[in-house]
Amino acid sequence: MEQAVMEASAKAEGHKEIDVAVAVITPDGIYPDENDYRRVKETTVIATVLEDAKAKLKITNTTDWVARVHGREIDVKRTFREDRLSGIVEIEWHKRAGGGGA
Amino acid sequence: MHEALARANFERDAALLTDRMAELQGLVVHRREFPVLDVTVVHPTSIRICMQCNDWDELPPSIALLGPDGSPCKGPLPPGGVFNAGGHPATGRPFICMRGSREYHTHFGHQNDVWANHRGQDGMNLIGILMQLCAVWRSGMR
Repeated sequence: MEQAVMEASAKAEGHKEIDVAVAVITPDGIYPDENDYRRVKETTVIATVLEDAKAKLKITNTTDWVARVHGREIDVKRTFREDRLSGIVEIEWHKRAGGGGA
Repeated sequence: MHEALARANFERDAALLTDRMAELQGLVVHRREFPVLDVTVVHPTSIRICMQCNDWDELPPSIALLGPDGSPCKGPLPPGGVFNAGGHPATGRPFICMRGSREYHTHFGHQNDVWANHRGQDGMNLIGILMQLCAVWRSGMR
């Protein structure tokens, strides 16, 4: 019985959804807007937020763009939790620098 | 290019660098007035990036690298070549060797990669070029 309660508790703990507050900074502006963050579940795939930012900011081609948080390149196919992103998350999203080597 | 058009293009892009965007990117804006966009990238080793944007966007910005006090940057520069310490053939000074910089597209080593290949693309406005430079600086100067 006691073990079942502990297992249920652990299961509930494992399913506890925590929000993150996200802003996406792009060359075309800030998503969701100039003065706010968007709250999403930490189980949200990062790319879905970037897609929403892309649509709102009317960006069409992001094929060679890179997303970073505090300078660290993130894997946008993962969820916020999987990429260890929590609390307030400010994503810089822009083209990867091209050139160098002259 | 007609100056009025270059000015309108500049003002459209510069307006995107709001106070919040500057804060989120750790930038201090010194000047945001046609034809100059002049910012400091706040960092333990700060760099000042001064973009001369006459003829924008027929021509990409000419980018000067300065110390925080506005004097010519003497280095160090991050590895990788985007912040190129080698001296541009036209100026002899360190320069930005990256698509979107006038010094890159006029360098003999990159004359096949013309600005027209990149002009007007998403992410290649003035703020996009600046964001790329900030990222290279911060990742290279850790």
